[in-house]
Amino acid sequence: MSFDAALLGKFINGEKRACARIISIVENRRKGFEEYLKQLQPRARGAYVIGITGPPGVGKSTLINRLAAELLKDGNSVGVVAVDPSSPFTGGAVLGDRIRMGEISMNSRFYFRSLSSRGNLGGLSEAASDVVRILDAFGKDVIIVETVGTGQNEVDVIESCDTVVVVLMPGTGDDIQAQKAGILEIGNVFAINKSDRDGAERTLRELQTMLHMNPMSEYETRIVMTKSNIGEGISDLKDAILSHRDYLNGTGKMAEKRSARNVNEMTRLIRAKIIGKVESLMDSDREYMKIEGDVRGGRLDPHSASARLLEYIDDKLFVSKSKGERNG
Amino acid sequence: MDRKIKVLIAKPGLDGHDRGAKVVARAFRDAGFEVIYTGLRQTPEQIVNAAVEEDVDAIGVSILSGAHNHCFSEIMNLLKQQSIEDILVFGGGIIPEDDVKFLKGIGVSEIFGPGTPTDDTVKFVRANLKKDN
Amino acid sequence: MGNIDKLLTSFNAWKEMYKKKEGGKLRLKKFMSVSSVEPDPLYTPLDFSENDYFEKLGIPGEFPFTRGVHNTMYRERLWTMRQFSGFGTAKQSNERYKYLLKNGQTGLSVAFHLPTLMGVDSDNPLSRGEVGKDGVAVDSLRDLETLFDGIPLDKVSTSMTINAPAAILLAMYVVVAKKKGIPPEKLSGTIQNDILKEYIAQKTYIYPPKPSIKLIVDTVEYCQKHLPLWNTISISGYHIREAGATALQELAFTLVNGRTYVEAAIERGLPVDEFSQRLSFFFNSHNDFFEEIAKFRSARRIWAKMMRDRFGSKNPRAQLMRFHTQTAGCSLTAQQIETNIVRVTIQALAAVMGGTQSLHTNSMDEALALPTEKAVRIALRTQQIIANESGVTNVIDPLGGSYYVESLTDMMERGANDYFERIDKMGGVLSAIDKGFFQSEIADASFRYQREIEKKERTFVGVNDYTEGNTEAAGEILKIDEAVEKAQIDSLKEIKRTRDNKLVRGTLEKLRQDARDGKNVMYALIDCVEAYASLQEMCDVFRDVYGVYEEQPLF
Repeated sequence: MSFDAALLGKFINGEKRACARIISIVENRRKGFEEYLKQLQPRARGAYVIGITGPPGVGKSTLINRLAAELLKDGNSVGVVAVDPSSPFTGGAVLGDRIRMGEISMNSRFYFRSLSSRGNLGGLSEAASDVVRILDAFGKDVIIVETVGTGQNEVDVIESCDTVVVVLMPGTGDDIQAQKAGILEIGNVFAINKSDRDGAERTLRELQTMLHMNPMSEYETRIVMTKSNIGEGISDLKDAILSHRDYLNGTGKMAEKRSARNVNEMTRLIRAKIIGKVESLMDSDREYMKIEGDVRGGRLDPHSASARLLEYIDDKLFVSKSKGERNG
Repeated sequence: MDRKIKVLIAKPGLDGHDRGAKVVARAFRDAGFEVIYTGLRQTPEQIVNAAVEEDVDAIGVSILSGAHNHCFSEIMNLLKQQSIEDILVFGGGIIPEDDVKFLKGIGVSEIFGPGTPTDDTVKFVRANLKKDN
Repeated sequence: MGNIDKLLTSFNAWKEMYKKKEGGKLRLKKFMSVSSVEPDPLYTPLDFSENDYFEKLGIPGEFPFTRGVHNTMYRERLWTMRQFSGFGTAKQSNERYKYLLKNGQTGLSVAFHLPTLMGVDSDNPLSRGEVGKDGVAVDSLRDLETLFDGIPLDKVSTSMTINAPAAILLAMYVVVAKKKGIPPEKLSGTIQNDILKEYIAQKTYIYPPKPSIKLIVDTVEYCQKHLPLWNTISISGYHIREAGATALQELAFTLVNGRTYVEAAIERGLPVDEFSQRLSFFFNSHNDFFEEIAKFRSARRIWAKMMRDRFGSKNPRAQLMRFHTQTAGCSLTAQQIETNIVRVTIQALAAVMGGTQSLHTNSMDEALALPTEKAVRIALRTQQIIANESGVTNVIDPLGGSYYVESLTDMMERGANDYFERIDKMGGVLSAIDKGFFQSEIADASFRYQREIEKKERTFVGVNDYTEGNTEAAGEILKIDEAVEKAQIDSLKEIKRTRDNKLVRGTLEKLRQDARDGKNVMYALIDCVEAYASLQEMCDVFRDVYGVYEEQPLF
């Protein structure tokens, strides 16, 4: 099973099933996946990508449901990609974010796709970017990406969005401290959800203080109070998000961000490819086995070993080619 | 790597008994599957829509309220309407023998009654996938 | 004290001998209860001292009520034989109720179909395929009138298993009785009305926790004034256990939910020594005979102490815990269904020896369908045989003083207190529900239980062993006619056509107003019910005002 032009045809016709199938092929890197991406590249419409992140239990899914409903009402075609962790041991996952979608799941302009984080296999941000790309080509005006906001993998995913919304909820000050790891710094809009709880004011103040301490941001980050369960604060949230979008468009940063993103992705991909190539070389190479054996046995330290390996790889991969060229 | 198996676990109708659905979901996860859990109180339309959007290999329907004939019929009809023939449909819950016959007649591949070891269900799904990936 | 030394010596010698056999001479590697607890092989006076008698056991009918809540227990009055029942139309269920009463049942227990439990009418699209299938269809007062036709509500007590719409069903019951000329103060019965366990286990919730608790306190307040004989809440552990919890979790989670209701009622200003007398409990009775008995005894003791020490109750009648028991549905097999009769007998016996006030015994075919007449008759006879032929009702708390049972009772109390501490640290029950604490404990316990069965660490007769006979056909089972749905929908249409719709609109509007203003909604509900507003119409008013709840499921 490789590239199927008929499938692509159905996708272009707007068939959801075809879109779903292409997402699976690309997500799982099945045979022919690059061809689909290549064919879809010219169909990119520049969908607006909103990343929504935050610790578990703050109500992200419910908030996304409300936000998506608003965006649908405004006439947008909306897609949601929801990332859930997979078991690092079995690779399996239970993806439960759909549960919150309720009635909007049946709106014909709405598309929801769950994505498992693939544990420690890596490739999450590529997979997520690819799904976004496909949904963009499928005709989505706005795409919301939801992650849990822990771990470097998820941070990468979020960085590949245009606007990042960080969702928190009132709690002890420790919560905000604990969340510092990367998330607070990349948020463009903050939502304090379940804002009817005790401590909402304090969380707001702490957040404001922390944001003022961040000198890097040129954009004035807005904080919105929301109650996703009863739908309060959602228009404010939407406003805050769209304001950020206007800022990005107005300053040319949107285009900048997106091109940088594409280049970053290329870099990540080529890195992975190179490492992959080297690793497959090393798999059965005798010299490598010998060096690895020495490190294992404690006869060689890792640094010297790596220096030696690099020399060897250089020789094998690069020099031998040019040698061949020299020989004609 | 073996191809990833994706299963939708659905609770249609008003039935809120989810102990079985959750135990099966967890067993599937431990077997390396990706499980999409729909949550409670889904309409057949929502279930089939989710199965399509997520491009699942199988739909597992859990129903203990007695409404199984109706729920499964609706689901199978919707799949037929959309010409979907490559999704494995199976179920579990409180479903009497006579009704199991009826359900198999309309295209449900298997019903796993009370006491079925989860391993059996895992094996069945692995052995009966219809999508050729 | 010479005896203690002698005991110690011989016990230690026995222990040494036993340890040697643990190597491979014993039947199993592990001996565990249904809840995976591993008891010791032997208990002796070293485990229980007579000195603790008054503090831990006491006299039956007196604090801490460990031995029972009455001083004569079954010698004066047997437990109520109350079979949970309901299916099809109200008329069909009315016939089944009369059959059960004729066969010696002493109280009624109503099972409503899922649409009623979820506050939707039979003509709602979500109800398709569900009408009358797993309970009786009740869409309006008319159905309840039919359900109790010819049944003397001043002589028979009725338990209604209804939660999110409990206030509405209570209002309906009061009006049905009124139409029969029976004043509310003569009515005796129970509404389950326990919303906290819905979020945790049964999942027939509608509204979010806070407004749901408010509705519960409304019913407690209303009954205090108008239905002094009515049990306002049946604080339940049954469903928590069915969802996969262990016996200890069932005990702890039920009691802490009960505590939350007491706190809420006190906050409304209701006097604890009054309303608490009308709180009741509902437990599961599973296969492990002694574990269940210890659980029941421990529950009474913990609750009594909680009422007296934490809530300052001064009246012993407000400290004693009365409970209904149902044998464990989740223990029934679809294979060799006659074996279920045996399971139910063991479970019912445990409930009786644990001092239950009311008992439902499951029928053998309930892993397949709702019970046939024959099956439910056998279930009733099971209770009657225990009551009249086994001799266990001759003596109050006959297992009191058993070294094992007292040890286990103590252990359960300690375990429950540990859980209370953990839940308090989380900020209480509502906070713990939010954090998914109960749900994840239950999911873990149920998954572990399933693995034990699949790995054959636990034998489940007919399921993973002793399966010869499984292929035999099960015989007749109850089938609900598909025509019930149409009949019910037609009847509802007729009611909506012939009632005074202007009046209905007015009463619903008043209900909305009262709900918004935070008033006690019972009075407005009674008016809505009398005007023949439908269940869904009333529930929708609450949906508007209170919102709906959606869970965050955990695996």
